[in-house]
Amino acid sequence: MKVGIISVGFSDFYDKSINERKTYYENSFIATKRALDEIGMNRGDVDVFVESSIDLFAGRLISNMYTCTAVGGYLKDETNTAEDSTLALIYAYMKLKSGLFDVAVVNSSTSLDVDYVHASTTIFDPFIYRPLSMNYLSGLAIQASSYMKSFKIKEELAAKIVESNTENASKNPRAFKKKKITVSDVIKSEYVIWPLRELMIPEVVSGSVSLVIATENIAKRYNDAPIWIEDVAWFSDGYYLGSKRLDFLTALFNAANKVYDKCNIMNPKKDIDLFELSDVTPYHQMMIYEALKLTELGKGYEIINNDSLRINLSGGNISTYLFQATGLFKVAEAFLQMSNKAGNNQVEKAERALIHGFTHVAGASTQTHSIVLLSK
Amino acid sequence: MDKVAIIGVGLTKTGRRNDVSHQELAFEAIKTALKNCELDIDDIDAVVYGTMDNFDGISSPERFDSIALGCGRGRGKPMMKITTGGTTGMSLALTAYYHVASGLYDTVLAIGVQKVSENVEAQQVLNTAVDPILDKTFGLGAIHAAAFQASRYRSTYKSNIEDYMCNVAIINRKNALRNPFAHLKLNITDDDYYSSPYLVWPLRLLDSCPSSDGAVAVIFASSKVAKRLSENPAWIKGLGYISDSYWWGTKPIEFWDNLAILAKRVFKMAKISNPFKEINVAELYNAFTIQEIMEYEAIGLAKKGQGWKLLDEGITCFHGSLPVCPSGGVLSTNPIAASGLIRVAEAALQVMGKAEGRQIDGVKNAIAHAWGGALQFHGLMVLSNE
Repeated sequence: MKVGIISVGFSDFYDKSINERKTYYENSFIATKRALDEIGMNRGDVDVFVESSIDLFAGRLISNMYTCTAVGGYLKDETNTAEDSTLALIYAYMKLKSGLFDVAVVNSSTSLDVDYVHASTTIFDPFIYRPLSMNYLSGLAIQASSYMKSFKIKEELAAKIVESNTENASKNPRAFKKKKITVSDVIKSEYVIWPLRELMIPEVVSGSVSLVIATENIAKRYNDAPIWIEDVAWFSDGYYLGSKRLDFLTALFNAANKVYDKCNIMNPKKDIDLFELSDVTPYHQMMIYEALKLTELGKGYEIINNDSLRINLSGGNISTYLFQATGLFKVAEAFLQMSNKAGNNQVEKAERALIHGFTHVAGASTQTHSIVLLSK
Repeated sequence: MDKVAIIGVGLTKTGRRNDVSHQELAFEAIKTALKNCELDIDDIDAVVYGTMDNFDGISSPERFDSIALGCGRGRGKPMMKITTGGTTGMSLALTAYYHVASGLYDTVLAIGVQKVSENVEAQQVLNTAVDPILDKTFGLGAIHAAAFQASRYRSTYKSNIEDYMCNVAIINRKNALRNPFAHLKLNITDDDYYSSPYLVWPLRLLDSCPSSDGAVAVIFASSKVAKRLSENPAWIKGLGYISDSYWWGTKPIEFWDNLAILAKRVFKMAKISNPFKEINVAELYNAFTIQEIMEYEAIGLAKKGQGWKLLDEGITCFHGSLPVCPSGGVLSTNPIAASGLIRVAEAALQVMGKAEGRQIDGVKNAIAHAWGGALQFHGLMVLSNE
């Protein structure tokens, strides 16, 4: 049985400079209403609701107490994953694949009520890492420095990735930050935590994204050309930085192998038309290239100037960083490209897309990488 | 759709577990579950993990528990974290079920862990869940919500409902004496009950669940794997979840109508037309005594406003015709995010005939239930030996 995406919806996005911010659940309502209205569906037609919310960053315990009704889940089957939102999509996909349900809404919202970096210090164990004031950003910085050292990566290469992503964002009507950042801008910006400079670090914005997915027969009633979920995979790795490889994304490599094997993808560069990758830092984007086998180990930089690959047409995390909602944003962007509805940044021949989701709440410790493979 | 079964259960000792870390507590449950069905962690295809972080005094403990889950072995493992408040444990069971029912995986481990002793006071933590403008300043927590239910039930249906809440308190604590994994094992009397202090009127201390540390691991398998590894797996015949709105001020809270709607859906799926006759044992989420009585009614074991009659007739006590919570229930053991999955584990053990000292004779069908949120979430599962 096939399961396809039939509609997407976005709320407006906000950063801390905008005073008219809404609550995270108001944004959930807006995004979901827009997704349902787009295809003339109402909440009564939906069987299942899956949200993605991490209580720590929502600033509320049991944060889906509020979103469950906002997305339309009143007296319906509803649940919440506390991961990157691609896993909410994957869970909804599994529910539909079970044959018990036909239509699901998947939603994720980001709140700005919490300082993400400081809040993440409470994630680390109280004995070994917390006394070091570890947070998710310091963990990512350790990983980036390990990668730089292992493969002698210069920061100009990372700056080029920022330039490339922001150039894409300048053409994407849905990107929050549309200003192009040059290599020179990046190199001139201050270090926040070595080796990460200010313009290498995505800034969290608030907002919400919703998808509507359905089983084959229902999907075709609402959308002439649903975008099918061809396969999914996800893996988590270990916690202790000293006992795992920091310069390679093993969990993503495992997920990629699983998807490639199942879908008979021998050459991902040729077999996949679009990539939406979670560039939590530009160094990680290079590591993601390697884990996805787009290039050899330590040669992620080779992809930077490869014009034949279409990577992060959305503009990447550096332009629109909805924290755990980022994964759904990327899936929605790929859906619009594949549906020929992307607008200014529409590309031709977008038949198959790989979306990478990245739960990195603990920095380099226990990362969860997920892949959603879409096809027309 | 392929059938899904539970083939192994791992419970830990509960209570104040200062002897183990969060990771070690998770490992204790996982190791026991694996041993009970002669599996190794490498035989597990995927893990579903649940905790409600704030009660642990640490955020996202699944990150450092990942070692206990088998993620740190180079290859890693698919792990998915679910958080839905009090229903988290039941949500884990449902999520593990869909991992298998979807055909993606054959053997899935659900693990719920909670160390409530790591925080100063659970009710203060719960107060961070309610609306920060309208509700938080009143100090609202779970016990207040249950007290509202009890006072509404008392004024609507039964003015002496406290006498029946007393029965529930005594039965569950005595049942816990049979359960080596229970936290509170109290051989209490009516006098003990009536002399226990009010926490929030009309709920007394003995009407309320404890704050427990504990973990539970449950292994779900496809029919192919279940038949190979288990002589008597617990088959999942029906399951479901329902969400209601947050605002309990707009709801008739003397009756759990959202649970009643869910029960009809789940029993239809399980082909159960008369739950009172066809269910042999029920593990209900009785965090407070009044809730067990309300759950009888919502699930369809008694008429609306007459749940107390089951207690009058001794139907739900250990030797009754429909024993409820032979494990001692949440009233005896409450490691919050694990509690719903403990209900599933206990129901599975009853169906598999492995509940030892708390085993009920001749169990064919068992149900497990959990509630959560602002009285707004319910999960329900029917397990069967065929």
